Amino acid sequence: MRKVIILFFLVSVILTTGCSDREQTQPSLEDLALASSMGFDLGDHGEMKMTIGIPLPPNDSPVPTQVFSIHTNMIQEGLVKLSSESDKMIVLNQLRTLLFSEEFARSGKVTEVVQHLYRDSTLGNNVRLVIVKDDVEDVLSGNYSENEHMDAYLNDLFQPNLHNSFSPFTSIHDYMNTQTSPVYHTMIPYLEKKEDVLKITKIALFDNKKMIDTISTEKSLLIQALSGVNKLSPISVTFHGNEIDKEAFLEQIDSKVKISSNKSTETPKVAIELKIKAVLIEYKGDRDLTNSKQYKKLEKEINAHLKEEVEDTLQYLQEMELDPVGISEYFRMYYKGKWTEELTRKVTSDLDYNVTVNLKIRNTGTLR
Amino acid sequence: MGIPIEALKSKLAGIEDAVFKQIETTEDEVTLIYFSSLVDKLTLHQMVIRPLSEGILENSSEVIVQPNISELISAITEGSTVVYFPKQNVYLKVNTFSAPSASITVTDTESTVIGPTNAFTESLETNLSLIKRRIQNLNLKSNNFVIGTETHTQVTVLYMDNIANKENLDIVIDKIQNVNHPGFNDSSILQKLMDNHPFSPFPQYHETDRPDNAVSALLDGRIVILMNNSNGVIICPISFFELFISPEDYYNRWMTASLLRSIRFFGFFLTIIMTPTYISVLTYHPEMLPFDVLLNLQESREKVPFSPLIEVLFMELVIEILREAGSRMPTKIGQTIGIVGGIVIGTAAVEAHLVSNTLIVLVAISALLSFLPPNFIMSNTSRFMRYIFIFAAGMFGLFGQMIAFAWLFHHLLTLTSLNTAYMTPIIPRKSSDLLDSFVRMPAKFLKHTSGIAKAQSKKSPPVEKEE
Amino acid sequence: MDMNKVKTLNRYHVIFLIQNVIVGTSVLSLPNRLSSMGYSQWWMPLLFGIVANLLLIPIIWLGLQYKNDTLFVIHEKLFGKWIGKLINIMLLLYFIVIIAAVCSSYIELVQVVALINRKITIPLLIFLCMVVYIVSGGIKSIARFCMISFLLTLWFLYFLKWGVMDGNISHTLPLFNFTKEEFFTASKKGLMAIGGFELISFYFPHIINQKKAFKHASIGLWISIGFTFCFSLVSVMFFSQWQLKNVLYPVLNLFKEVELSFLERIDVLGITMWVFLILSTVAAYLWVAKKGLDSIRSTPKKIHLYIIAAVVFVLVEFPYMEEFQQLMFERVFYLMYAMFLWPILLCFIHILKPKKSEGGE
Repeated sequence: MRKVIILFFLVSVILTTGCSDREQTQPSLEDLALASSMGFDLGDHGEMKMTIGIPLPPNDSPVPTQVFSIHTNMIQEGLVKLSSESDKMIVLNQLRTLLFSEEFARSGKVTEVVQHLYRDSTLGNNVRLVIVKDDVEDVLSGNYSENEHMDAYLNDLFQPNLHNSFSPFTSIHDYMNTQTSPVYHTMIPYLEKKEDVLKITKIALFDNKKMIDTISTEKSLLIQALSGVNKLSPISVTFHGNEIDKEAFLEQIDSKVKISSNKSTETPKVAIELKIKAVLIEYKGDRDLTNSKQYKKLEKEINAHLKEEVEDTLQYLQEMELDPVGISEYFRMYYKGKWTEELTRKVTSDLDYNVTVNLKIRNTGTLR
Repeated sequence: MGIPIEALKSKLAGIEDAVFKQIETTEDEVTLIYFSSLVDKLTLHQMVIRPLSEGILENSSEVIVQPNISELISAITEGSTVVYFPKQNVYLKVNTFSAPSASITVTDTESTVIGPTNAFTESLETNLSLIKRRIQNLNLKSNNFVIGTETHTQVTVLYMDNIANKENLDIVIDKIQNVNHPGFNDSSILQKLMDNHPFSPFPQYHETDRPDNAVSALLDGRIVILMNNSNGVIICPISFFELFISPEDYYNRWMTASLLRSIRFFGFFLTIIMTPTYISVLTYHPEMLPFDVLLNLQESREKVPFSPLIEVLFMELVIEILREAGSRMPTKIGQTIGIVGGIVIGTAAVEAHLVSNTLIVLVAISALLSFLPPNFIMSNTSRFMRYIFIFAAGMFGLFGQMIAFAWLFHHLLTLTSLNTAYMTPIIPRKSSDLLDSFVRMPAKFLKHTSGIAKAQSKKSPPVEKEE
Repeated sequence: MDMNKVKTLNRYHVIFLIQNVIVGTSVLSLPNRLSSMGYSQWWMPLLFGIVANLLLIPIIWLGLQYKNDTLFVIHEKLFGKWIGKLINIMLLLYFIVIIAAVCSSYIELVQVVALINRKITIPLLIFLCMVVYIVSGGIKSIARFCMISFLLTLWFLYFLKWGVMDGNISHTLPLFNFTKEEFFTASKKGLMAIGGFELISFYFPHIINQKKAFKHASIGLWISIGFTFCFSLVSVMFFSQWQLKNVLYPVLNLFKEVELSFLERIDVLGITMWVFLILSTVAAYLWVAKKGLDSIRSTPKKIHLYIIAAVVFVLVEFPYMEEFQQLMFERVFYLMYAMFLWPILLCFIHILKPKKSEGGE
C-alpha cells in the first residue's frame, strides 16, 4: 500500500510541476539562436572583437546567416550584449568552428579564449579551431555564392575526409591537450579567403601560446604521417634530381610509422621507419612501367624523394625547436621524473634522426 | 423427507419462463420443471418426453436421492429439467441445457497471418472442447469452481498433471476460492481480482482468446483458467517478456520470428520515449541533435505558439481521441474516420501552426508502435506510460526521463505474477530461457519448459532458487 | 511476499550489490582525484582492488561468526548495549552524511550538464522519492535494481572507443614515475572510489549461501574494479597531465568525444543515465541507514526511512554555512577508511571476548 502511495505521489508531483512552473522553464528551441561559428579579431586598442555567425532556418529568411560582432573583453559579456541585439538568446550548444585572426593568434590570446570555452559544459568537443589570414569578420560575413550556407561550407571544410588529411583538425580538446602537454606543440589549420572561396592553404605552428610560423600543407602531411595518421591524402611528387622521371601522383595511401628512440635524453637518437603503400595514379616520364626492373627503380626514386622531404621537414622543426609530431614522447616514456618543456626543447634540438622510407606501389590503375 | 412441489413453485414465483408441465404417463402424472429460455423444445422432447413415454427415462437421467431445495433450484437455473414423480416422491434431473450459443469464429483481437485461427467462444463447453481436441492426453486435469455470489459463474482450472507446478496450482485454487465478487461478465474481472498488485498499470496475467496460446501454455506447465460466458482465458503465471510473444513466432522461421519479436519488445520502449525525447531535446538539450536536423526543427517550430510540452500533449491526445472514436463507432464508419481524421487533422494542425510537422511524424510512429504488443492490455499500458514520461521530460528533460525509467524498471522488478517474479530475463532463472528470448532458436532447441512455470517435468534443468 | 523471509539474496544478488554500490559518483571524478600521480595512476584501481579484496576477508570472517546479525547488532553484542548504541549512532550519522555527499555531488553535476540554470530542489526531491521507493522494497529489490543498472550502463564502455582512438597508449609509460608523497595523496583521495563493499557486513545475514559469499563478493568487486580501471586507463591515454589535474569530471569529457551520426552529443545522455548507478549506491546506503535507525530505536518502522530521507534532503538543500557543508562532504570520506579498518578491530575483540563469556556461563 505504501508503495502505491509513493507511486501516486511521484506521479502527481510530476504532473503538477510539469505544467505549472512556466516562469522557470527554459526557452525552447525556437527562442534560441544557435551560434555555429565564432571568431576573434584583435581590436585597435588590443581588445577583442568577437564575431558570431548564426545560421537561420533555410526557408524563412532572406540571408542564410546572421552575423553579429562586438568589441568586448569578456566572452560571456559579449554574448549577453549580442543577445540583446538579436531577438533571440544566443547559445553556444551547437558551436562548430572557432576562428582566430592571425594577428590575434600571434598575440597569444588564443589559449585564454579556448580555456574559457573548454570550461563550458554546453559546448561539444567537435569544435574545430582555425586561423584566418586577415579579418575574421570578413570571412564570416562574406558572400559565398556557390555555397550559400556559410556555416555548412565552413563545417564541410573541416570535416576529415581522404583529401584533406594533411590538416590536423584541431578541436578544443586537442588544442588544450597539446597546449598543456609538455611534449607536443600545437598545429592549427590556416585559412585564406580568395575572392569567393575559402581554402586551407597552410598550417599554423604554435610555440607555447603564440603562433610563430606557418608551414606548407605538404610538410604538414608528413608530420601527420609521422604522428600516426593511417590514411594520407594524395601526394604529388616532382622529381628534380634525375632526367628520366618528371612527375608522379600517388593516391590511396596507407602509411604506418614506427619510431624507436635510444631512451637517452643526453644523446637523443631516433630511428623513424615510414612504411607507405600507395597506388600510382599518374606518371609523367620516360620509364616503361611494364618492365618490372624499371618499376622497381621508380619505386626507389620516389622513396628517395620522400625520405628527403621527411628529413627536410624534421630539420625545419629542429631549427624551430618545435615538436608537433611528438617525437620527444618516445623519450618521455622512458624518463623517470617530471618531463618539462625544456627537456622537449633540448631533445628536439639535439635530436639525431635516422629516417627510412619504405614505399610499395600496389598497382598502377587498370591500364597497362 | 421429500419436498412438495409447492415449495418449488413458491421459490420460482415471479419468473415467467419457469415452466411446470404436467405430463400423464401410464403410471403417473409427472411434472417437468425447467426454464423455457434455457431449454430448447426439441431437446426437451428428445431427452425427456420421449424417454418418459417409453419408460426409459431412468437410463438417461440422474436420480436426486436426497433432494434439497437449493440443489433443485441450482439444477433448474443451470438449464436442467427436473422431473417430479409425485407417487414415488422422486426427483429426476436431466441435463437439457440447450440455449443457443455462437459458433466457433476467427480470432479478432489476436489475429496472425499464419497458424490456426480459431478463437474461443463464450461457451465453456466449446472452449473446453477446443483445448481437449488439441491435447488428447489423460494428464490434462481440470477443477471446477462456481464463483460470483450472484451470478454463479462456472470456472474451470486446467493444468497438465505431469508438468504443472503444484504450488502454483494451490495458489490459483486458493485465489479463486477467496474471490468475493457479485458477478463476472468476463474472465478479465477475475484476472484483476487475482492480481497481487492491483494498482500496477501492467497486466499480471495473460489473457488470450486463442486456443493454441492456451495449449502451448499448458504444455509449458502453466495453469489455464476458463470461465463460462467469456471468450478470454487466463494464463498464469507469466513474465513481462512473454507479453510480447505472439504464437506466430513459433510458426515463422526462427530468424524472422526473432527479428519481429525484438521489434515488438524494443518498440514498447521506443513508443514511450519517442515524444518525450522530442520535448527534452527541444527544451533542454538542443546540442544533442545534428545541426541540420535542428535547423529544420527550428523552422517547423518557428510559428508554433505553445511550448513543446503542450504541443506534444495536444497531439498525443488527438491521437487518443481518434483511436477511441474509431473503436466506439460502427466498423464501417470507424475506418473512414480513422484515416480521414488522421490525415486531415494532422495536416491541418501543421498548416494552422499548432504543431510542428516533425512532431506529427513522431506521434504517428509512436502510435503505430504502441499497437505492436500482441497483448492488447499491454498496448494500452504503453500508451499510458508515455504520459508519465512526457511529463517527466517536460520537467527535467533527459534527467526526468531517466528517473521515470528507473521508476518503470523498479516497478517491473517488484511486480509478481502468481508470486513469481515478473522480469524473468533480468532475474536469472534458467539458462535455457535464453534460447527462447530475444532470439527464438530453431524449434529443435526449444525442449525445455520455461523457468517461470517452475514445471516438474524432467525435461527441464533445475530451477535457480529464487522465490 | 518474501519481505518476512530473512535469507533472500542469492549469488547474483551478492555480486551485483557489491558491484553497483561501488560504482557511484567516484568513477566520474576518479582520474581527477588520482591526478597527483600523473600518468602513472592508471594501475591504481587495480591496487585498490587488491586492498579491497584483502579488507573483505575480516568482514566476511566476522559475518560468518555472527551469521544472523548485522554489524549494528554485532556492536551491541560486543560492546554491550549502551556503548554499542553509541557506536551505531555515529555510524548512522556517517551514513547519512555519505548519502548526502553522493546526492549533492551528482545533482550538482546534473545541474551543470543537463539542467542548466535550473534550481535543483525538485530534481533532488524526485530523486530521493525514487530512492525511498526502491529501498521500501527491501534489500532484494535493491539487489535486483543493481542488476538492471548494470545491464543498462554496461554499454558506456563502448563509448570509450573514441577516447582510445584519440588517445596515446604511450602515456602509460613509465610505469612507476612518482614520488612517495604523490602516491600517498593519490591513494588518500582515491581510495574512496572502492567504498561501498563494506556494506556487505550489513546485508550479510540475508545472504543464502554465506560460505561462498567471499567468492561472490570478490567477483562483484573485480567487475567494478574493471569498470573503474577502464575509465581511468582511457583517461590517462586521452588527457594531458594538466587536464587530468584540472578537468573535474574526465568521464564527461570522454563522453563528449563520442560522435555518432544521429546523436551529436552523448555526454548528456551518459550523465543522466548515470542516475541508475547513483540510485543503486544511494539506495543501498539508505537501506543500511534505515536498519541502523531501526536497531537504535529497537523497532523496525517504515517511518525511519522517511525520516532519514528528509534529513538527507535538508543536509543537501539548505546551504547553511556552505563552507562547513563542503568541508563535511570532503572529510566524511576519510571516515570511510576507518570504516574499512573497523572490522579488523572487531575481529580482534571477538577473539578476545569469548573467553570472558565462557567464564560467565
